[in-house]
Amino acid sequence: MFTLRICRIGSHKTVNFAVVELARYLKKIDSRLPIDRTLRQGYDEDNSLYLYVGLSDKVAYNKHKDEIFIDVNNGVGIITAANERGVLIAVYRFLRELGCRFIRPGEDGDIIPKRRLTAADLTVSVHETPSVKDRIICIEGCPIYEHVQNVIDWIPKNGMNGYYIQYNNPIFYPERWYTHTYDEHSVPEPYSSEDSAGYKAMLDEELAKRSLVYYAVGHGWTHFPFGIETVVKSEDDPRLTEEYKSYLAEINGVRGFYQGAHFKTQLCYSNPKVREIITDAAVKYAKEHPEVDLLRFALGDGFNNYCECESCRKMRPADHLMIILNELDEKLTREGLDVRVSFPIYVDLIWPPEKVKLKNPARFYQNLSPSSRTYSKPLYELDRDPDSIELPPYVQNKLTIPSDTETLIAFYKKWQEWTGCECIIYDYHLFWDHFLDVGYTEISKLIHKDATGLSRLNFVGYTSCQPQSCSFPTGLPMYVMAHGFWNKDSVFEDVTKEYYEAAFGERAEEVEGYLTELSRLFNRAFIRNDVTPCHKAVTDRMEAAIRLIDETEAAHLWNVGDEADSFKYLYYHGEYMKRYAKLVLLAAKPDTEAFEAAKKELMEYHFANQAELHTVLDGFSWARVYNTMLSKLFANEPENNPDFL
Amino acid sequence: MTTVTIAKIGSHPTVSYACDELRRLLKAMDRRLLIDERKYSAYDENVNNVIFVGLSPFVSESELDDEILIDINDGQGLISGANHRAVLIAAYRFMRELGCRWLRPGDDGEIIPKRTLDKAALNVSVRETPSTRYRCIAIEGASMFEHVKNMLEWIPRVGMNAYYTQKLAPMSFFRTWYSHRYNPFKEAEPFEYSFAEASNERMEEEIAKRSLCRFAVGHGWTQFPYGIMYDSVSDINSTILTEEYKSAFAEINGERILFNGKTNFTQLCYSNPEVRRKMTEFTVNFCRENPNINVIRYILADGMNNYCECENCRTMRPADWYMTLLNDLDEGLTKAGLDTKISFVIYVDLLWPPEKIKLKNPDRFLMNLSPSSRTFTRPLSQHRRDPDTIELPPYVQNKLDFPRDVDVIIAFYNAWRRWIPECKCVTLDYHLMWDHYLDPGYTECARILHADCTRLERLAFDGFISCQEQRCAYPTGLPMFAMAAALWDKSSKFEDVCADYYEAAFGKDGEAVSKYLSEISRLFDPSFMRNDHKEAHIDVMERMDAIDALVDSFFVSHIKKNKDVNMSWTYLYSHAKYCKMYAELVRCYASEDESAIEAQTKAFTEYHFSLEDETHSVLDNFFFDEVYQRWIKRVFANKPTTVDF
Repeated sequence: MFTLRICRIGSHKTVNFAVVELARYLKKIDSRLPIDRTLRQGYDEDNSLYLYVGLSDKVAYNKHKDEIFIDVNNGVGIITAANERGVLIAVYRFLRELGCRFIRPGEDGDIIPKRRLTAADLTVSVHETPSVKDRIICIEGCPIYEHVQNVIDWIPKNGMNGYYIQYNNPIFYPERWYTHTYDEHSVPEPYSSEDSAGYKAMLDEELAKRSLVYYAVGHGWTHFPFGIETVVKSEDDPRLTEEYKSYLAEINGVRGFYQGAHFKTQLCYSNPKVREIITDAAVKYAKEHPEVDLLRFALGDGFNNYCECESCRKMRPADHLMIILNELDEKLTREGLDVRVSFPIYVDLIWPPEKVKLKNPARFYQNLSPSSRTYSKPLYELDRDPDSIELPPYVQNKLTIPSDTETLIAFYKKWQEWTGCECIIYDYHLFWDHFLDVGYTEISKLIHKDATGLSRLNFVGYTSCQPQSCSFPTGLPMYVMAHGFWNKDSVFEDVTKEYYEAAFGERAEEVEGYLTELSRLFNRAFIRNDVTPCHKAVTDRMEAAIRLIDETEAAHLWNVGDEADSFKYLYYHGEYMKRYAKLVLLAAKPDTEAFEAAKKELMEYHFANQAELHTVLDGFSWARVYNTMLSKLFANEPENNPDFL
Repeated sequence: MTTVTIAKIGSHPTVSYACDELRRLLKAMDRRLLIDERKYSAYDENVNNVIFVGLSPFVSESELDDEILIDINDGQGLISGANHRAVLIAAYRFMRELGCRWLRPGDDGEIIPKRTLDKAALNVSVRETPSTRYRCIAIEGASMFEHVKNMLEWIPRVGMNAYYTQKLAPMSFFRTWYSHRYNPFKEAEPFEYSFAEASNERMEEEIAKRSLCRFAVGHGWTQFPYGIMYDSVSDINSTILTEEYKSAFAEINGERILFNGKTNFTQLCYSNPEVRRKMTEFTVNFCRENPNINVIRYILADGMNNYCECENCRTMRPADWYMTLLNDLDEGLTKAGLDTKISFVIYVDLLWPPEKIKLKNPDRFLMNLSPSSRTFTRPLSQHRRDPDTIELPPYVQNKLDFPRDVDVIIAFYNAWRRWIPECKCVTLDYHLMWDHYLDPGYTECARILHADCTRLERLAFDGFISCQEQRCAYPTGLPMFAMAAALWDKSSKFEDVCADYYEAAFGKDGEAVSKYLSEISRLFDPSFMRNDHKEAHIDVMERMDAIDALVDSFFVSHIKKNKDVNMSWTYLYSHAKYCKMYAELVRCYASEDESAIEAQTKAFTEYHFSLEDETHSVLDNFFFDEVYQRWIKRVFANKPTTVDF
C-alpha cells in the first residue's frame, strides 16, 4: 500500500472539483487506496512527492483551447491543462487511461474497473490538444434537472467542453416533462416560469462548477424583450400590448402571430425601434450574465415568415440581421463587454446578405444550422463541387429549404466569403434522425465522420442539438461524437470496439453484430422515407428483425440484473423493436384499424417503461418522431426498389 | 415512476451541499427515482410538489442551536433548520428516517437500503433540537487528509456539529502517519511542513462546506508568540530559541529551562507583564486573521507540575494567573472589536481553581473540563460520593497528584463552577483516545461513552468534545455511533442504539454479533485492562482461554461465511485473529515469560500492521500499538492481590 498524495494547485472551484472527482473515482477503483490531499499555490517540479492537479507553466494558459498535459509516474507528477476546464478534462482522461469509461450520461454509464492500485499503476503520459475548439451539447427534448445534470456531468468526462441552454428561460423543456405530452395516461402537472427559472439557476451552478463553455439563449430575442417568456395561449393575453403587436412581421398585409405561435413570429426588423429594443435586451442580458461565454442571437423560429412591409422588403432578412448585429456589437463594445455572439445560418437565413457587411467579424461566430439536411451521408462528403452550384433564388416567404448537403455547403461558403467570421455548426444528428436507426450503428458512423471532418469545412466547433436522454439501445453515438471531436484522426472501429467492450465485456462482438444487423434490417433510409421499397421487401425485413430479436432473447443474451444496465437496455430495446417491426408490417397493409391498435400498443409500452428508461430515452422526443415518421411510411405507392436490400 | 423535486432555498454552499447529498442518497436508495432540482430565493407556500430545503420561516434562526424541522408528506414539504449546518443535519436525518445509516466514517460505513421510493414512502415528520449544543470531534492520532475528511463527512450525518482542529496545523498527526512508526513493513516517507500547513486549508474548506462549528488551536500559545509555530523544539541551543523567549521560561528549581526538554511542555513566567502582553497580542492578531474559527481554545503548555516558581508567580495559583491572562485577552479582543469565543481548560494543575482572580467578562468564555486522568470504568456523573462533600486535595505547586476518581474530578469542576458560575461549560474527553483499545469488543467502551453523553446536562455541560483518533471503528463503529446518538438525544437508550447499529451492520445476525462482541468485552474486562482492579494470573489465563474458544466458535458459525457480505463482516473477520493474538499477549504477560512476551508482541505487531491496507480507515495502528504495549505492562507491573473478578 502506498499513500497517494494529491496536491491541488490553487483554489479554483473547477480544479477543486477535478481533485474531488479524481479521488472519488480512484476510490471506486480501489476502495482501500489511502488518498491524502493538500494544496499549493503553484507547481513545484522539483518536489516529487505529489500528484499535482491544476494550472501550471507546463501548458500556456488559453481560455479557449483545452490542451491537456498528463505526466504521472508511480503516482507522482502532474495533471495540468491550458485552463481550469481543461484540468477537469485531463483528470477524466487520466482515469480513462486507468480503464474507466463513461459510456452514457448518468451514473449507470460509469464503467469503473475494480482492482488494487499500486504506485506503478498510476503511470500515465498524455499531451494533447482537441481537434475541435467548441464541443458542445444543447438542451432539447423534455429533460428535467436530473437529465441535464447527467449530460453536463458527462461532457468533460469524454473531453467535450460546452453546454448550450436555449432561451432566456428554458421552460419549454421541463414543461414537456410535466405536461406529459403524448402520454395519454398521465395527468399534466403544473409548471411555472418561476419553476424553470429555478431549474436554470441550478444548471448554471453545474456549468460553473466545471467551467464549461456556456452557450446561451438563441431564439427568444423576438419576444422576451417584450415581456413574453411563456406560451401565449390567447389573443387576450395582457402581455400582448398594442406596441408589441405593431412590431410583429407583416405577412399578407397583417401583423400577427405566425401560425399562431409567438416564438415562430418574426418582427419588423426595418423598424429602428424594434432593433433598439432587442439589441438593448441583448446588451442587458450580457451585462447581467457575465458567466455566458457565447451568446446566440437568433431571430424567430420557423420559416417563410419574414416581414413583407415595404421597408423590410428592401433587403433580405440576412441583411437585416447584419444591421442588427452591427448595432448590437456597437452597444456591447460601448459597454466594454467582450462576449462572443453567434448568429445562425438557418432556414430563410441560408440565403446570405447582399448589402450589409459585418463591421467587427471578430465579435461573431457564424453558425450553420442545417436543419433540413439529410443524414444519409456526411456533410463534407460532396458529390458535386459546391462552388459549381447555382444557388436557388431568394423569393421572400416562398422558399424551399434545401436538404442536399452540396447546396447547403454552397450557401455556407457564400456566407463565409461575405463575413469572414469563424464558423461553428449546430447540427441535429441526435435530434430526430437517430431514432430512425434502431441499432444506433449507422448514425454513429455518420456522426463520427461529421465530427472528424469538421476542419475540412472550416468549422471550429460543433453544437449537438439533442434530447438529453439518447442512449437507447447504447450510448455509442454520443461516445463516438465526443471522441471524434477530441481527435479527428480517431478511427471509428477502434472507438466502437472500446465502447462495446466497456459496455458488454466478453459479449461485445456478439452485441455489435446484433445491433448492426438490426440497423440494417430497419434501414433508416426507408424509415425516413428516402427510399420507398416494395411491401414484400419490407415484410421480409421486419419478419427477419422479429426473428433475430426472439432468437437473441431465447439465447439469454440479456441479463436484466441491476448490475448490467447495458444489457438491460438491450432487453427493453428488443421489446420495443418487435412492436415497432409489427407496426411497420401493418403499415404495409391496408388495415388502418390494426395499424392504429398496434401504434397505440407501442406508445403505451413506451410510456409504461419510462421509469426504467428515462435516462436513456427521451419519452417526448421519441413519441414525437415516431408519430411523425409513422405517418409518412408508405405515404407514396411503393416501388420495387432493389437498393433497399 | 416517482419524481421528487428538490427546491433549494437560496445559494448558501451548505444548503447546496445538503441538496447534493439528498439527491445522491435518494438515487442510491432507488436509482429509478427521478429527481428534479430547482432554486428559489425563499420558501414559497404556493409552490407545491417540491421538497424545499433551506432556512424557512418555520424555524427561528440560531447560530448555535441546531433545531431541525422535517415535514414531508407524500414527497413534498420542507427540510429546514435553525442554521445552514442544521439544514444539512436535517437532510441526513430525513435519510436516516428512510433507513440510511452511517456506521463509521468512510464510504464503507454508509448503509443505504435499496428500496422503491414512491410518494407514499416519503413521509417524515421530525421537529427536534439536540440535547447538547456543541457535539464535537477533535483531531488526534496518526492521520492524513482522507481520514479527516471521512470524519468531517460523518459528523453531520449522525447529527454532530463541530470539529476541533488542534494546533495551528495538523503537523504531528500527519507526520506520524507518514513516519509509519512501529510499522515493521514500511519505511518512513518524506514529509513536509508545508504539506500539513496546506492540509489545514483543505480541512477549513471541508468544514466551511458543511458550516460546522470550528474549535481551533489549544496548546501552543506559549510558543507561537516566540516564533515556534509547529513542532516543539527540544534543543536548548537551537537558534530558534531567542534570549527573550528563554528568559520567559518558567523557573523551576531555580532555573529557567525547557521542561522535559521540550518547548510544548514549558510554561512561561505568567507574572511577567511582558510575557502576558506578548501572548495576548499574538492571540488577538490570530483571532483577527481567522474570523472563521468559532471557538479558540486558549491553553497553556502541556504537561504537569511545570509552573513557574519565581517569587512573583508563587503569589498566586496557576489558575489565578490563567484568569489574569484571560482577562487581558478579553480586553484585547474587545478593543479589536472581535467577538471570538475563548475556551479555557480545567486540566492537570489547573484542576485546582483560582482563589483570587475572577473573570471580568464570563460571556466571552467557555470553561472546558479535560479530565485526562479519569477512569473510564464508570461514567463521570455516576458518583459513589457526593462531590460537594469531598475535601479537595491541597494545592502544592509542582508536586501534584492527579485524581483518577471521577468524584474528585467533579468536585474540582464544581469548585470552578462556583468560582465562575456565569460561564458555560463543555468537556473534552478521551474515551476514544487510548482507553478504547483496552476493550477489544468495543461494547463496554460504547456503553460508558453513551452514558457520559446522555448525562452531560446533569453536570451542566453544554458540549462534548471527543478527543480521539480519526480511525476508531474496529471491530465496529458502535462507540462513535452511540456517542452521536446520545449527544443528539439525552433520552436515547443504549440498548436501542446497539440494536439499531448491529442490525444495520450485520443484518439478521445483528443480535448474535452483539452478544459475541459483548462477551469479548466482558472477557477482556476493560476495568482490569486499565488497571482499575487486580486479579490472579490464573483467572486471567482462564478468561483469555475463553476468548479463544468463543472466537473459534463464532468464527465458524457466523464470520467465515459472511466475511465478504460487507466491510463490517470483513473487519470482524480479521478482528477474530486479532482478539486471539491480543489474548495470547495478555496470557504471556500473565505467565511472566519474557521471551514469550517479546515474541508475541512482535507477532501481534506484525499481524495488525499487516492488515493496514484493509483496515487503515478504521484502525489507527500506530496509536493502538503504542497504547496496548504501554498499558499491558502496567497491568502486570504488580502482583495481583485479589481473585475477585
